[in-house]
Amino acid sequence: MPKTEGDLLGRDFARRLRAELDRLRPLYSSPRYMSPMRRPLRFAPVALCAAVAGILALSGFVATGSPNPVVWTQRVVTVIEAPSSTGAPPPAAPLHSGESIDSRGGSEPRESPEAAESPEPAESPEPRESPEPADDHSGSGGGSDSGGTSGSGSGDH
Amino acid sequence: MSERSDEYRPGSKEDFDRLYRNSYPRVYRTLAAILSDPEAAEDCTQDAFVQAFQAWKRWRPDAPAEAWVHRIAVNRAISYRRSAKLRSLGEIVRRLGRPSSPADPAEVAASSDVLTALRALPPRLSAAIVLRHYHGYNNREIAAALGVSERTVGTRLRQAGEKLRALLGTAFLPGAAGAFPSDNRELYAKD
Repeated sequence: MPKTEGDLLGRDFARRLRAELDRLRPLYSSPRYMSPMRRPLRFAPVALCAAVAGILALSGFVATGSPNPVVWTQRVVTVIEAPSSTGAPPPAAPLHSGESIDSRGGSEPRESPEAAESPEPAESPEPRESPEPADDHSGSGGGSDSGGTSGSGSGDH
Repeated sequence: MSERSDEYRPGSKEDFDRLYRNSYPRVYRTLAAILSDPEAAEDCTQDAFVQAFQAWKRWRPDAPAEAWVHRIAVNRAISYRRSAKLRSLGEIVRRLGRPSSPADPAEVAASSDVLTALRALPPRLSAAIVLRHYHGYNNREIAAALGVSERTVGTRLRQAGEKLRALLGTAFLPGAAGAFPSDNRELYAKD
């Protein structure tokens, strides 16, 4: 069974320790926690937060010219989204000018060949090239021709 | 412990004043056993009560209030000892505002055994010894005061006991005729 610290040190150790520590007398200075010097520090975080919020509001007002926080957030969103959209293409993108230009909204409008040639949906040729519909009454025309000749020939005679 | 923890109400200024009056000398003596400089012990004790006062509303009575303050104070003393190693002697004098008063030779001779040995220990070990042998805390209260488990408290007390025995020699052997050299003057005469 292991010895406890009491076994190791003995009772005289505690008695002697008490005697020596009881001899020490603190100065009983005034409690530091009651010192008014530390009181303002209690509000330091609040003051810091208020200062940061004020600076943000002021800079938002200066940047947008509007006191409306909704406008500030919209401005922030547009500022953040614009670089993210332009930064997306890879470095090789300028070689494919047509595609890269198409993806940028602010660039000059330039017609790319693909865009110019992109036809409207081609209509199926079948309706246009459909043969002329056979007239059910065409036999009268043909018949008239043939009948006319035959009639005239018979009439000459 | 001097007062039961359920006698204090968290956030009560009057109760904290009472805790200060009851516990300040005891906490100071604990730190005096850890720190060799009495003024540093007093400074750290005051700082500990400032910290405790700022957190007084959040104190939970599941642990004794004095053990809670001890925990803050011991941590403060550990930080002080760590930083004191890095400071030069001139910086220490400038921080305290005046040089330490020369120690009374009789006091040095009287405190040269137990307190000197305690101050030579790591602060966590010496704090455990003081809480047990001076304040009479049990392992659970020491665990609350030091923020460790009860098993760790037992380990620290055993380690501290072994180190103290090695530092103090045979004077503290259980059942020894002269527990302390200063108790038996004839031992000095024989030597």
